[in-house]
Amino acid sequence: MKIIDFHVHIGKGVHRSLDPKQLLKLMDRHHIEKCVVCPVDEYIAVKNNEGNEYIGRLVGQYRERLYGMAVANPWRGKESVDELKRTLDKGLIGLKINSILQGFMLCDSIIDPLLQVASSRNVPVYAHTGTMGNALPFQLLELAERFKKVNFIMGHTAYSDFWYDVIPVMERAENIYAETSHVSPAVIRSLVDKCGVQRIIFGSDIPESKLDVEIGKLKLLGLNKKQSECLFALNAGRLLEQKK
Amino acid sequence: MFVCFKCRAASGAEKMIIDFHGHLFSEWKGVKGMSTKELIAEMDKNGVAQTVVFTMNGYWGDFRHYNDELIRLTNPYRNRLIPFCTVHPYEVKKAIAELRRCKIKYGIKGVKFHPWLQGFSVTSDEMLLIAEQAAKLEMTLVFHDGTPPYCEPLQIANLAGHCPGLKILLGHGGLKDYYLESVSVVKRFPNVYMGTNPPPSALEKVSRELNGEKIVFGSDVGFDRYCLRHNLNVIRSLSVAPAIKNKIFYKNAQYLLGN
Repeated sequence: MKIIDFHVHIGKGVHRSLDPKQLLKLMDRHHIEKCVVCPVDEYIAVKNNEGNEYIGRLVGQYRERLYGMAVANPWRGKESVDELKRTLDKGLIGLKINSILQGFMLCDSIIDPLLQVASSRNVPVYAHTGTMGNALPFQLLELAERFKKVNFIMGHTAYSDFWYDVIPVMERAENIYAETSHVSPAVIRSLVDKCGVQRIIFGSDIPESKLDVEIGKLKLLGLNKKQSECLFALNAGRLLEQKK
Repeated sequence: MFVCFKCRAASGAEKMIIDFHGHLFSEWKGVKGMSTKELIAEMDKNGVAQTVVFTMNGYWGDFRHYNDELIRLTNPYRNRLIPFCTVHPYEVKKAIAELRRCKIKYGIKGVKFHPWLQGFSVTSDEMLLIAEQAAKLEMTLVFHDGTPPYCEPLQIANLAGHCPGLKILLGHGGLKDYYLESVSVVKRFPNVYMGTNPPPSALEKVSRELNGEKIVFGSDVGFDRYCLRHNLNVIRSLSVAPAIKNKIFYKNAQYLLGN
């Protein structure tokens, strides 16, 4: 079965590190055809340009296997908007935001100029969710309602403790997708049962998690062949293709 | 690659598994819990020797009633299922009497708290009184942890400092967002242990740093048929020595249970 991993961090960071050769080895071992990669740690928070340049080089080098997401800290204002435009021009396929590392309330209008770029360029936006305070599912819903043309990915499906918000949020916004890393298999199962499988996408969040753990938990769910194909590849494929 | 559980078991690397975090309940919020027989079958299927089980409904209902229910359900399987009672700290007198009853009459070895669901802070004066009583009775305390505003690991550490003779388990090891607090606490307080729910890479790192000490496997089994296998898979995926995994899987649990 074809697998696209929609959430991988790559590079050498203060807390997390994964180099491209390691990643390609892991992808081969776990039969992953393509990965969506974004920078790690300080490159998400402050060194956006260095992070984006690195991701751009990798995507150019491994065009058949990797897609890249750009990072831009909204506190940088126009500079971050220009950075996002530049990186999308160079072939990255979306925007990754982490309101915890970047220090803003997820629903704060400070992010709007970046989302306007995402909307006009028709690219998806991946948002870390699940951390108390300023990365919550209902905050993501605010963005999804303000920017209805943008497809948002609810990173980690709000793991750890916001599982009870996930289904109400998914039901209210057709432009929110749930990404599967870390969250318990039971939450994914109930999401499949109540909202269908069309807006659930596989992501591993390696190197913070592990591929055998993340793939293994989804195989416990007893999904049929069509559901598995959607979750592991087809839904992600639609998001990756939307920029064209 | 999906981990093959049968091959792992056949390798003999795992000597025993004690699951220190299970729930036994008939129904909670419309979710039907596993029956005792179903839980035992799930344990057998996954090679788990013993499970420490907690209530769900007792967190906000009549805790004495639900403690009795848990004791009744586990009595036929006391070699496999180890019940921990619960109380609500805000009913201090009743709670202290219940701890004494559970320990003295039924030999219950510990108490589970879920401050988030129960709606109290672990730093409340009432909780300090309950902790003092539990220490006198030599009962281990298990907390749901990793969730602000009531049960962050450093808040629970406040109890550990207040009662240095009390054994405390951070049931989830800080979960995804507070594991750094959890690691800091178990390093600083000799009487605090942590569960296995930090992200796998963090769990791997701390397992090595602590040489497997003070980390206790827990799966949250009881709600569905996925979580035990998934959580076993997490531990089995760690690149650490078998001796470390054995501490996580049962040796540290045996210490907390006084075995």
